[in-house]
Amino acid sequence: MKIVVVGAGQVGSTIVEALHGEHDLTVIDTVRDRLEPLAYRYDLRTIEANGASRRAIQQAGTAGADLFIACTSRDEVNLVACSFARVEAPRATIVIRTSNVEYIDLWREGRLDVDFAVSSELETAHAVARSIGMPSARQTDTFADGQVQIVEFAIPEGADPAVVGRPLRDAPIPDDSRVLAIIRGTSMTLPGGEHVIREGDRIVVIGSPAAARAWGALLAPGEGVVEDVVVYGGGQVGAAIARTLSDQGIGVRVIEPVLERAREVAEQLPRCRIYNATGIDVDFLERERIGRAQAAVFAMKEDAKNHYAATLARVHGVRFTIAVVHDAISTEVYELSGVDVTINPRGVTAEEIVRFAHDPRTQQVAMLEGNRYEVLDITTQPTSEYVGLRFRDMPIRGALIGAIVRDGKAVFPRSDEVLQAGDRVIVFTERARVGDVEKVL
Amino acid sequence: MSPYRAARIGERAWLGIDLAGALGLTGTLLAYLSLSSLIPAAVAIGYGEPFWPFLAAGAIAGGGGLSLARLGRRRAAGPIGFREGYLVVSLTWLLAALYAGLPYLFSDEAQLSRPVDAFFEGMSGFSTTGATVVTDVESLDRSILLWRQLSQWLGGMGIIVLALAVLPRLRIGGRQMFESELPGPEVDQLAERIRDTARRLWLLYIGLTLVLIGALLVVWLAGLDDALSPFEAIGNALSTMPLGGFATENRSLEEFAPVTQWIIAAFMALAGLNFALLYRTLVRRDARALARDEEARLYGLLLLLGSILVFAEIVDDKLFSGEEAIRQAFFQTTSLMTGTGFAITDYVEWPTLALMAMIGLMFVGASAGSPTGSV
Repeated sequence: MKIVVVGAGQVGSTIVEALHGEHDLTVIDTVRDRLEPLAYRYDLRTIEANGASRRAIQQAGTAGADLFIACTSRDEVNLVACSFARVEAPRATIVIRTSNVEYIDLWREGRLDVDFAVSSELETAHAVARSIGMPSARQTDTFADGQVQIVEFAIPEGADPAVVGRPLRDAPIPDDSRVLAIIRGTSMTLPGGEHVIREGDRIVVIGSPAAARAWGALLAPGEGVVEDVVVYGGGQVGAAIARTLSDQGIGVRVIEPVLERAREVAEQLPRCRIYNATGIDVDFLERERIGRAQAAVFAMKEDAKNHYAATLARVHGVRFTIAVVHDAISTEVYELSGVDVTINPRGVTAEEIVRFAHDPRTQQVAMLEGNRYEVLDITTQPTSEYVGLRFRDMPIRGALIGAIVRDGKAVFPRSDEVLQAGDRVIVFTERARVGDVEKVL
Repeated sequence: MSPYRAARIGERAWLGIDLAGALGLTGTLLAYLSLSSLIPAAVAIGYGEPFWPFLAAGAIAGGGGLSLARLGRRRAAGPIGFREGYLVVSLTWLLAALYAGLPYLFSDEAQLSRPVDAFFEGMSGFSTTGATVVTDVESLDRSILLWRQLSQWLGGMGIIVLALAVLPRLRIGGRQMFESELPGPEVDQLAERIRDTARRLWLLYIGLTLVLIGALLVVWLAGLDDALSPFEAIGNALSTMPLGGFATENRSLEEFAPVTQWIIAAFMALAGLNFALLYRTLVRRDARALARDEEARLYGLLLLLGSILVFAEIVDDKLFSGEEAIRQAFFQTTSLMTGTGFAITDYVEWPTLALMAMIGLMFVGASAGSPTGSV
């Protein structure tokens, strides 16, 4: 597939990293320092130019492209690039990244001539909301209209010994769920009945939402329903998170240091309580009993501030912290200092966008562990060698099917289930094997 | 995730270089390069000359290359990075020159029997420098002569670019190898993938060489040049396109007829352009690509001005007149400016100003992205 990517920032380079090798890539950016690391690392063409220039769009070979992705951090550039691309390549799939919810609405109304619009803020908000619903999870993704959840758990010390430390076949695994992978350090196992989960492992579980919650309770008992969340930072990301959470009926408190912005947010979000405060003022934290919140989300603009505020919040008793990452390396810093979940807006945006480059039968993609692993939702072809096989007879070759969607209903197959042509399968695999999996199915 | 993190990963041992990986890749390149000895070996058989020097050189390079490649496969740390890329290019350059020198050494050719002379000739060949230690070129075996020309031709567009174009995946992520090979600040990518870009450049190079050979053969068939034979046509085409300058005659191209000299001068001027630009102009039929390019315009302008100045000087000095003066001025200026080094007269005798002009242009040189001076 020929793909043109405008923007080589974090979103752009995450997209490139996920797509290189299998696709012919051209990347446009104005900044040479962003292009060069990509050009030396991956086999692709780079063009140093403004993505909003028609000449650059033409030079990139957009006319012959199958997919055009505008993912700079500037909405205006993305909009102009997409409109030029539409002229050059009327049939290409065009994806725009935008930080403005207005444009998303415009696109939903059909007034924006792009095939898909992705908003970092909204994607981040959804990721936060999923995590809050599942406090012990590192990452959650939903498939098949919410019928299937993929959850990555870090196994804490003191997790229920029923599932930890004994072979999976003897463990009381919640119904309608399956362990897709056990990740220990840097090695990953597609487990059979004989494998054992240990403390410190990370596991990927697929299951119905109820099963996923049961897993959450097994691994981190005592964490109930979340009712009180504090969001640090009332910027675009923070406001989007607050809105999404309060729409789910969760009580949200927002801390915004700039008075004017705090007023704006207060007007936009009448159901939330907005504080004009820094969030690192100890008197304030005690007075407002921030420590009693069940979860805190750190969505300020600077990673260092988020980091400090998160640690301080833990000191004050907040049990569950979620931090938004702006620089990829901060993920590790946050995790090392005890932040429970980190969410990289650029990563989740890239994840949304990357799925357009997959086989058209592939409906949805989730990336795990900094996109070393992927979960695909793919429809089987009648010609697939796997069709007609029972699950117990399927050879395991670096991929594991976790669920199938038949006639719109999710099924978590038992070992005697038979795969049928036209089934949508939800399958876990390594990034490098995605092409093979798509071929085989 | 992505390049930010990349800097920390892949810690490498000694000197911060994945030595085994670099050596392994160099070995692979050398092993493939050793196949090139089959061509002069075949020519030697055809002319009834000794062919074993080429086969022996090929066997040594091939064997050495394969053992290096094995070492690399066992110990390499990961994909080739920046530093490894530079090491591979430099090592390949040195080893290729050594390899090119081996047949000279093994042949009983007295002029090249000293190792230093053989290596010099090999290096001069692969680097398309064109300097030579051979005083009597015509006394060389035909096969040795062809090997000299061929080494320049292979070195012209570059054996590493060739390897990128034809070899199965070389464990190379990006374009560092490609860039370290071609002179100039920036590589103009003609396709999304390095492999396709390299392939296009090489095909254009081969195509232009074939056209030049064809043109010279037409001259020979039409009987317009008594000094020209098919061997000379091919041999000189092989050193014209890379702007190399090895000739098949003692007095460079002096013996050839005006028409031959004109053709060669024209191709030298053409080969002095950026090949990516040439590709856009000739293959993609984008006539304005050349005109739009500032470097190409400057190159043309300097070539023209230099030729006119030299022409004025030599006419003023009454050395030549009429067509011959134009031809001498254009040929010599092009040859020096592009770094080719062909001569059609003893231009050292020319007036000082003309010499100064030509030598000045020599430093300006041909365009970036042309075959001049690359490995």
